[in-house]
Amino acid sequence: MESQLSDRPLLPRWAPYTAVAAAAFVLVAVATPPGAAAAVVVQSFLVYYSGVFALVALSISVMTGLLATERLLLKVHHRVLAQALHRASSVLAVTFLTAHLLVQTLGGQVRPDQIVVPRAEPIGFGALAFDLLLVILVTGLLRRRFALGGRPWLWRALHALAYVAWPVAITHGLTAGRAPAVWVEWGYTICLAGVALSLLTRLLVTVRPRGSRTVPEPRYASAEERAVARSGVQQGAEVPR
Amino acid sequence: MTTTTVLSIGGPRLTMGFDRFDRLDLDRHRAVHGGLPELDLDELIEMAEKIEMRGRGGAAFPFARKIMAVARRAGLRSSEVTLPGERREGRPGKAVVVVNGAEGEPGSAKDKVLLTRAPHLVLDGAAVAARALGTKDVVLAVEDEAAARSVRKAAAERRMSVRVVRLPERFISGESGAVIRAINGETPIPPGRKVLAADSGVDRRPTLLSNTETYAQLAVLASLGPDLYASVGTDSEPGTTLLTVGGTSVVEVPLGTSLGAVLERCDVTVGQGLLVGGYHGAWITPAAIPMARVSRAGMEAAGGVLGAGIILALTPGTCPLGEVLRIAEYLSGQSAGQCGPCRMGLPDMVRALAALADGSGGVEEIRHAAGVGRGRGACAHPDGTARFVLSALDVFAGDIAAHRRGGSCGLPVFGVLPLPVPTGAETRLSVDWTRCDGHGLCAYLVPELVRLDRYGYPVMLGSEIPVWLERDVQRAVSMCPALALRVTSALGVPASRGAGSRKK
Repeated sequence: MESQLSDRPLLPRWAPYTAVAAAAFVLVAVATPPGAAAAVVVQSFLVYYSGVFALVALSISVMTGLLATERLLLKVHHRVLAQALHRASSVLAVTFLTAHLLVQTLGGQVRPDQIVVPRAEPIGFGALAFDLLLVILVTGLLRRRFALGGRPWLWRALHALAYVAWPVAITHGLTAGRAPAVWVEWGYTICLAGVALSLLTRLLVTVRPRGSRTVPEPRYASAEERAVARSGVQQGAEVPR
Repeated sequence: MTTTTVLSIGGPRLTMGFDRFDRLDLDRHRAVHGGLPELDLDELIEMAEKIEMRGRGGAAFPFARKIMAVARRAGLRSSEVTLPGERREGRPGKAVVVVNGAEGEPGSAKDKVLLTRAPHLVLDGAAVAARALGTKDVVLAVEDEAAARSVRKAAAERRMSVRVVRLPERFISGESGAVIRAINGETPIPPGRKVLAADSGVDRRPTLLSNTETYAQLAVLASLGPDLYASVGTDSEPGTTLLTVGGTSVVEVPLGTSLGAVLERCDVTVGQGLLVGGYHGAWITPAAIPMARVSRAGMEAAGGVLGAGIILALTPGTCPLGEVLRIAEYLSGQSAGQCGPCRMGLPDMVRALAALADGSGGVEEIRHAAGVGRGRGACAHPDGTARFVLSALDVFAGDIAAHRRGGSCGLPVFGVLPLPVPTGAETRLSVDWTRCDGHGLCAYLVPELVRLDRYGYPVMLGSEIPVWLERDVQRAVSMCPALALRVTSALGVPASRGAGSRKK
């Protein structure tokens, strides 16, 4: 009887059951007339907008990633938050990308080989961005291995492929498929501006004069913040300061 | 496993027959201790009241009151008085008798010895209590495999049904609430809200939970009768008690025996101090030993506590502060991490002790950190640990002065105080200093283990990563922007201050 806290699984035990139950519910619901109508709406949304949403999430991910090590303005807890946002939006981007690829392939708009083999055409840009993102995703998941190993620079180099993948993906979004709607173009512009600003901040931080670094006042997570981070398992937290 | 020597002063009672037999099976037990006495509830309560019998697990709760509460709850005694404000949780039902054989304390061996060598005596006591309470449900909670085997065998020999529940070897798993939770199949950590076992224990039934030695004493009391039982010991505390001296010898002495005689019998030389009452107990000076008597009152007069009868001496030539720090680190890691005062207070205390040991900190910080518990928390762990550390400040004042002057007293840390044998799975948090850029995220995510220095770089607490912090630590490792933080095995890595592994 080991303490159960030590070997908590990666996913909660109910997660797979919930997923199976949700899938079963969707399959059954689609068989009913209103369910079928809803499915058509969802499908057309995914066909037209999953790519756009994937790009927006990817842009947010790039921005928060750039800002996550900014130390002049952001306090430790902001940086922790930025990193959490970075991860969350990356997961969201990958999810929308998967939906985008599935819907476009199953709908017959692209051949399966087109989504992996890059060619000099609008869809080819998407394929290139997808390949790069795949590398970033896998190495990102294996980040802790790199922390243990002797080559952290390798991880950095691979992760920096995002700086290539992101503009390629934006190009794909602007050139492939229908002509983008006006608000989508505006959205892309805002994303571009945001990333440019983040990049500028990052560069400023990187080249800042050495003496200007302010010594951060140690600040420790408060009881509530830690309770949130701890996903609410332990109770009775009353952290004295 | 270490072998435990069993000795006695002034005639053995619980350990009778240990000189001739390794283990008293049913025939030998009956030959030595006689038949199983049959008592009804009133007789039992009267006997226990007459000798003022108390629990032997450390809290010294009056046994008669405990069994009366269980009987009342089980409907055996009409509830004469219900105190105002007395809350009744759980449901009435048949009582359960629980023998607590958990000795989370590395320095205690008496219960293990009783269960492996005289299991029938303990079962006699449990059977007497169960019979008086009109139940047949007896549960034994124990950590040690050999003890569990011995009791299972004994139960088969006497055709008694005993449910044996194994507990993890952990400092806090002997707390009564934790034992009940373990028996009910939950995580064996103290519950957040205190519920008396007598009200709602195993399966929410009224439960008589007592320490192993208490049941053995009960068996002896039942067979001797109160008058004969009180023929040794002091007037207020009659009978004998089991002491574990140095972690390796168990000695049975009449209460009131002089502490000096016990130490002499066990061939113990005391260096700069003597720890009585285990790791939740207190240190006493060598000068206090000749006057001290082994009894609750006697120990209190000497500035210590009897507790569960654990006595540990510092051998001459070891650094007292280093030894105290080593145990404080262990105790801090043994917290279940449930309550804030314990989770934040104990690492603070360790940090302050470490600062004192290397001459950079003062005594005041320790007193400040130790004051964090004061009854706050689900169990006595923060308070017990504070008592251990605070008494060390008084007893080792001379050594502390040397540390404050020179950063060390010049003595090595032998590691004489027993700790559990490492399993090899212990881990530590470490930093690749060439990569660390002082981002400070680790100190924010695991403030229990990491603090920042004035340049913003991490200062690690050198102790092992406790189980309850593993998730936070993993988060910190994966969030380190510089990929500098990692978890390494505690074995092979030299510990901060000589608190490495050792085998006995």
